[in-house]
Amino acid sequence: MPELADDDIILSLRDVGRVFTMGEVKVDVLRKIDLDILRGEFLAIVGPSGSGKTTMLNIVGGLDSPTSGQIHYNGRDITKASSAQLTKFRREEIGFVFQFYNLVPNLTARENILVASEISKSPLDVDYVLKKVGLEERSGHFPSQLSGGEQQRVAIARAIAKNPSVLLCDEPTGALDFETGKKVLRLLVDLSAEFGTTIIVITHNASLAQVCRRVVHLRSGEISQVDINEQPIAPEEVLW
Amino acid sequence: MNMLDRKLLRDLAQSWGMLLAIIAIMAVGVTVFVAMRSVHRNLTEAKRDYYRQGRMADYWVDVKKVPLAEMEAIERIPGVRDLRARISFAATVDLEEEETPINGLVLSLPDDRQPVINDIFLRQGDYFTPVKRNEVIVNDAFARAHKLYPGSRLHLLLNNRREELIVVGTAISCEYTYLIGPGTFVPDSRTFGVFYVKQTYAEDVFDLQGAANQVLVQLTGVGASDNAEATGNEVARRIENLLQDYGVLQVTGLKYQASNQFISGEIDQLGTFATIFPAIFLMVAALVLNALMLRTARQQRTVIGTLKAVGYADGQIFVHFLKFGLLVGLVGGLLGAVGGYFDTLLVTTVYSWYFQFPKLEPQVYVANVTGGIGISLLFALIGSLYGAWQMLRLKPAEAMRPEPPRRGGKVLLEHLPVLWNRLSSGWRMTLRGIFRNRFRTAMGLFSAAMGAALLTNGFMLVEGTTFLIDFQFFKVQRSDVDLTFADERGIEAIDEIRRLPGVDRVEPVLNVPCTFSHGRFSRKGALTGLPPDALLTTPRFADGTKVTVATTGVVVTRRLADRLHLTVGDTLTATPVKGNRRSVDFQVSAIGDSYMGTAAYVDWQLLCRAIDEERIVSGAQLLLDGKPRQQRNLYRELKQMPGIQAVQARQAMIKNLIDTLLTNQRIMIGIIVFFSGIVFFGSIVNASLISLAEQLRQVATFRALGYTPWQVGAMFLRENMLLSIAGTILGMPGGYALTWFMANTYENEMLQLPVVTSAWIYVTALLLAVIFTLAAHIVVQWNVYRADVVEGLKVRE
Repeated sequence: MPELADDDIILSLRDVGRVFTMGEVKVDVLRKIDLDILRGEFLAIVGPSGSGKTTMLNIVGGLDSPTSGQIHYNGRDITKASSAQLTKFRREEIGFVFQFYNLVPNLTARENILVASEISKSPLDVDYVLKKVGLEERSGHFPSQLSGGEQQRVAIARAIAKNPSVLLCDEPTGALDFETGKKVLRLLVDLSAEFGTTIIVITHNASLAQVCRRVVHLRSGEISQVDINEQPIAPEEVLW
Repeated sequence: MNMLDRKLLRDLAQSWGMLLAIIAIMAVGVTVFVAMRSVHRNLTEAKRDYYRQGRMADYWVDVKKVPLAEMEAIERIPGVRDLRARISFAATVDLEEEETPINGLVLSLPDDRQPVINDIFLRQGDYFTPVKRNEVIVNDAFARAHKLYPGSRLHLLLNNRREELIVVGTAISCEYTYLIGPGTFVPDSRTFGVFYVKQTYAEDVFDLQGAANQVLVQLTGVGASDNAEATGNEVARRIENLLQDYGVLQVTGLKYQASNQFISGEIDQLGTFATIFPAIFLMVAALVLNALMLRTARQQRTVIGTLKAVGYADGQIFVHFLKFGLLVGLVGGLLGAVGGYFDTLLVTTVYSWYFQFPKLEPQVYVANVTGGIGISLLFALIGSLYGAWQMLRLKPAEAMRPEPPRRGGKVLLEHLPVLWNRLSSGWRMTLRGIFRNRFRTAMGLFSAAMGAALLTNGFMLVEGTTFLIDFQFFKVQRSDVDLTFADERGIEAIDEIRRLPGVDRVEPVLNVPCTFSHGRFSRKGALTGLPPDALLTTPRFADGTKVTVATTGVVVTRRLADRLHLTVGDTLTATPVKGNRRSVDFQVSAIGDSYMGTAAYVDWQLLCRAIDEERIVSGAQLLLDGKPRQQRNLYRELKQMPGIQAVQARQAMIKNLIDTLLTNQRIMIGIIVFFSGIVFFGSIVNASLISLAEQLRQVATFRALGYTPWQVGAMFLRENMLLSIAGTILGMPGGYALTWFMANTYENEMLQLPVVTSAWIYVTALLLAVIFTLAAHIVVQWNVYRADVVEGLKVRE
């Protein structure tokens, strides 16, 4: 891997470890993770269940803090950030996309996006975002009136409406069928290209990772391998 | 312990915070139930025993003067079991250390100890001895207030003579269990006392040798019971006829006797409260419990499905969940029983300050405790049934799948785009939550309404009392000192009084005891003659405007009008009970308001002519200049002044009345605010913690999106605040209705609580609702703050 200028690195994890204490048992969920994530990168983290993918995503997204090691965002150490600082960090820098969408059932598609843009410093126009995810026709519908794919698109719209620097997607296609999954993936690829957003996708589906330029493999809480795809394939070509 | 029971205990342990809130509301309900029922019974039994032991009279017949020889004739009237003739006079007490004249009532007792009607219970010292004629037994509370003991001496102004009396004992009597002086309704042992003197001594000083001026009558059978009332009235009528020639001033049945009215009214009210208030608390508790049960049903859906799949019978699962509620009811009931015990001690002690019983023990009864626990279990059962039934309905396979998402749709407000589009998404979420979770909304509204009804009711009682004091003591009757002459005197007496030190204004008063009649309705009372320019007694309407006493008509107070079925324009016939006894007709020119006693006002000169007298007065009302030195001189001169039967210094009496009522009101407001606070706080904390638990994933999502805990908490606060405010507004009419009900079921001839309302009542109730909601929000906010975002995101809805 060629040397990188510091400016190119948006997130850097050094020796990051996360231990969960459950009663008297201590579980090392993450061990000595060293990883630099580049600005605008489309990165996949793959691994089997229990390999520590979600924990890593939570730490990167400021939902959780490591028990050891350091994490820098844009060169700033956020390892020991307070709860309020992390809230601000999430609000301004991070967009989350969850496997089960986590939409607010009480709000329409449009309002679910507003919920995020309202608290953001420089939000994108809601109608623009809706159009981007192809849901301008469905904006007045409640989550229960939308299909899974549509709900996930609302969730993605909600995440990008804040205009975040980093988009974290936890199994974004995990609850979707093959065709819908591909469309969601296409949307992510396009967004990455258009806005230059750094996108980190967690998946246990290795074939999906072919879309990304870089694939980090996790196994038992450690990085077992990092692949570089010189020629990432288009989402439409993915074989599930 | 089987596994289901073990699960039950762990379920309970997990929701302890919410259970605590429900238990607190239940415990308050049971506390009120146990205490009010126990105190109700304590008072009822104390009264019953006291009346029996003291041989409480059924009728008091006041006459001008009746020879003792007439008693035999009365005794022969069928239905009369026993009677006693006694001498009863108002007197002025002259204590060395007291400048202000004190009012007293002098009553005669046989020279030798013997069981009599309206007997006394000695508290200190002994009964009369044959040694001295001027021995006196003093009311115990008065003696304690003025540090009088057996052996002390005191002076009474009796029939124009300043008599020295020697205290031989102190005593209480069942006819003065609630001892109040003239013109007030709160006992004040400093300004009013009862003095028992020997019969022979009383005959001497009041010039009533071989005669009396009051006959106490006991009827055969139970005098106070309802079916005996008609017989009693008939007996009373015959006694009245028999004594007609001696000038019957007043015939008072036990039902209308002052002390008895206050005790019985209090007992009746306790009985009503003991039903209404626990019902409010227990209904709220059952609703809140119901919400918790439904939440548990949803939360444990897959567990229930699994249990059913494993082979547990529906009945077992049903009972399992009922036990959950019943345990809550049991704990609430037990805590309430303990609270009820202490509350009974407290309330009984407070009653013993006002009622002089020989024995009033703060006993708590097993029946009330078991009853309290019983109703708490009953309401807990009601609160759990629906939730438990919901679990029964689930089919195992269906139950093991997560609940299908709730359907969404537009709520009413969304059809008003002008309004809706201006709302932030947070407000939209709140409003949709309120409209879609109808049950939760109804519960929130109901609880707030009940809490607000309690507050409104309490504040209205306070406002009513304040209004009453202002109306009666600062508007209708404004004199500082009232004088009653021993006999009617010419108008010159007023000039004499005007010259006394410190007197700013004097107005003549003429009271003529009469029998009023209108059609078939009649009752005893007095006509009050007022000069046209009277300022110290001015009949008024409730709104404060003066009622003019026309030179031809009569102004009656509302209660008297009701009793005699009078309306404006009707003719009231008044027959004086002494003097010429000529019936005179007056046209009712207006019906004024009065919350204390009854009255009928006519023009003074008209009244003089009606009784064929030349400008006479029976008393005077004085307004003082307010200079303490002058006041001392005035009192000194009044004590020496001949022909004065009673001096009533109203300032001290009113001050004491206000002080006592203010203390009572502070205690009452404290209790009501505390109780309604529990209703608000408990129901809000519960509802919020339930919705927080159910929306954990949503909360976590908001936190992940970058919302601060405060912003997330604000979503709950918005909803709670809206429901609290709306519920409070809905509950206010309920509080008004409750007050109206209380005022109208309080049977008391002497006192009526005005139902008045004022802006502060509603503003304060609303303000308190907001404060309670904010207080409850601290708990909610703390739970939002503590919510684990990472775990919350994993929750499957």
